Amino acid sequence: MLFNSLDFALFLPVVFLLYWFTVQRHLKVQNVLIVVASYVFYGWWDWRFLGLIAFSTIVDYTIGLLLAKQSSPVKRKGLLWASIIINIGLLGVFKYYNFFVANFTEAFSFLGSKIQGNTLNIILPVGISFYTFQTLSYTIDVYRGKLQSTKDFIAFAAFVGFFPQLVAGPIERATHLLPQFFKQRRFNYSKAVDGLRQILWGLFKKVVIADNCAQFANLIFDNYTDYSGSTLLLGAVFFAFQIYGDFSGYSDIAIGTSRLFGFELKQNFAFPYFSRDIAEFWRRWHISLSTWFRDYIYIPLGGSRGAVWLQIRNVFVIFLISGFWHGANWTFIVWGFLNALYFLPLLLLKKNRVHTNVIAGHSKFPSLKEFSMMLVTFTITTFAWIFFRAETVVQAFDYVLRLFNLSLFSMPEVRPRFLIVLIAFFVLVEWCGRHQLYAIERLWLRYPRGMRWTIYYAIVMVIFLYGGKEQEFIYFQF
Amino acid sequence: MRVFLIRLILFLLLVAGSVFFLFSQADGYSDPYYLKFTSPKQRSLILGSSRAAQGIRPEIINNIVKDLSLYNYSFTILSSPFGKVYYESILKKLDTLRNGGVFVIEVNPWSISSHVQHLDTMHGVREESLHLGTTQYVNDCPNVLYLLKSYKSRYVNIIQNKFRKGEVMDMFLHDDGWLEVDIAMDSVSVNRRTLSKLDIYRGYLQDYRFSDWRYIWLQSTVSLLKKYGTVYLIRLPVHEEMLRTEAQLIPDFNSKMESLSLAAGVYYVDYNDLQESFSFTDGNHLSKTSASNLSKMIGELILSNRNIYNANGEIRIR
Repeated sequence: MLFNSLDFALFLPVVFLLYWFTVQRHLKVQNVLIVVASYVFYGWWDWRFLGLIAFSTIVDYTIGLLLAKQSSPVKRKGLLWASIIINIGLLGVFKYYNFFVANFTEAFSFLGSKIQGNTLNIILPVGISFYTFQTLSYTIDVYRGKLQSTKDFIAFAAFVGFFPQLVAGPIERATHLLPQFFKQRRFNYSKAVDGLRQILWGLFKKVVIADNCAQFANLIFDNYTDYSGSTLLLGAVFFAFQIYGDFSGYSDIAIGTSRLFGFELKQNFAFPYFSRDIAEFWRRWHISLSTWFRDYIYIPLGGSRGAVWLQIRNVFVIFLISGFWHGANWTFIVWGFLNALYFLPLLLLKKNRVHTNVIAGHSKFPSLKEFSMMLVTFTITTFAWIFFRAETVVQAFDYVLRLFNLSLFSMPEVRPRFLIVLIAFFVLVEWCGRHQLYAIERLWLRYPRGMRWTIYYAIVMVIFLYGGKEQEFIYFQF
Repeated sequence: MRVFLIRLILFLLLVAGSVFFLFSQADGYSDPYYLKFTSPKQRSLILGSSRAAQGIRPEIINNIVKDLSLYNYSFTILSSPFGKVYYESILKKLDTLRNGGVFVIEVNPWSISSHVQHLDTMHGVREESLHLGTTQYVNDCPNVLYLLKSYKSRYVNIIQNKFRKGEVMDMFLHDDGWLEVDIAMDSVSVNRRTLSKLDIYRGYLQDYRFSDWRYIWLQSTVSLLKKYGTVYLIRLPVHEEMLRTEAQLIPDFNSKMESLSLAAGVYYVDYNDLQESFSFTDGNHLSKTSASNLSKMIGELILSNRNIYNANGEIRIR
């Protein structure tokens, strides 16, 4: 079920009313309702893959219980590896099997020996990369003693399948989300209104910005050989806004929806396009995934400690894995590699933690220096997005070659004025709200209610009038 | 919670009211299909592809045959080839409480052909996901479900197109279902469009074949309509090159239609004999002027055949 669909518009109020009016007093029943609603939500897309979520839930629940009983370090490690192998194994089969088979077949053919690889005719279960990482975080944290394993299977199933963030994150840590299923939730007016506000802004990002950008980004990328360099540049910029609007919009809707049910999820995007360098960008982009990699891979590898070559290795490992996590295609790996290249100088010069505050913290506008840094960061990020969006690495390089020629200085053939105005409005609101968890969190709160309602009403109508046609969220495929 | 719900409901009512107002503004400029799903059930229908949608004007026929009220319920070759989807939609549009209607069914080789992958099956055919397949209610005004589920443009176009008429707008759907297309008719533009259209259709020859399945659905459609009135199978004129392309797709198309008309006891007329008297916008669709001329001819045919039918009850097949 898509957040931007009629189905979800009917599903959400039904679950909300049942949750607060019929099962409010019983925590267990509330959790059961969450599990049922989450399975309906997921099964709406394809019920056959519900078994995978259930399997993953049972495996990690059981391993969590066994870890609690087990004191032998060797056996505990064995249990941890069992969880990792099962979860990553599922991911490997469904997401990466065909990629590896195709690449091995090609590699052997290149070396002169013809082999026949049997690929699987399977589709990628939506959200598998997200819930797999979420359940893994539970087992790892239990193993590390950061969290006690739970005996409450329903609460654990609700944690794994929690529908607002099941298919595209944010990837919640068990230490943060799981305890919330054990606490009595009470309806809170301010939180609920805040949740609705965040849903509204998320829908604006997704339906107005991302879906409209998608229309033109797709047009340009799919026919890139027909367009001038300036149009290709515009196509890359549209894609940069598409992916940001799409993914951060989804996160906003997920966080807002969770808040309606009394849950707090962590911020997943913190205005990444206002970053002054790539290190800041990665602290602000897909925070739940970046911190997951940081805590469970980068730091155990040694992080930024140790010899220089180890630091370099760790940076490449983390960015290449991040790229590969996004999809079984070399384009994502090149994208990860590019970001590692961008990041490396900052790490080696120990300048990767220079910009930890909000840009132009005490003024309305950025300084010229800040603006230039922001522009450079946005430019190199957008350049990397070309590889992320392209179908193949060859196509990406061809796109780049065609972009950098004299026609870069001509007028673009595609000039959707309405979209450029919408993007300008969007950037302005995001800039004004950059100190907050999401752009409109407190932006208009000091205005009288009538004016606030007018603004929200205007946003709803813009979503309705200018909304692109219903498109799947990009991150569903990851 | 009560305050929250009351305020939320008030806000949503405000939004719903605005949306409903916006939807009530949808008209023939909104898209080429919407009005067809807002008219009431009809006693007499024009059916077929975009050739009929643009090429047959109910108003002209209705003026000739005085007691007739034909409604053009034709769409496009992609959304309304003969099949289960179109049949069920026709059934919803048809006023089954009254008899004595007239049904003009435009037929052409493409409307009884399918992609080779779906020759004998409903499953996976394209029309399932297009307007007719996704529009469950076809007689509601305003048709909220159509606008929510099947309307393909941004909603702002409902308003914008009203102000753009005469500027960039080149299509207008009349209340009687006729799709008026205003397009440059100078020879250079017409030739360019014709060549492009021919290229597309010649490309279709690779993957499209005559479909028994669609032919059976055409038979079922004819049988259904025959219960409620007189049925005319009409083949509209097209550019000679297009006609040649169609002959490659189904060489015995006319004899197939003649057998069908004989078996079902309905009329079949192929206007391609008079092809030179018509002009086309792109080799596939009649120009506005030719649409008027052809509609006049169909009107006269209905009128004369009505007389013949009334006089001796026989069916004349041309």
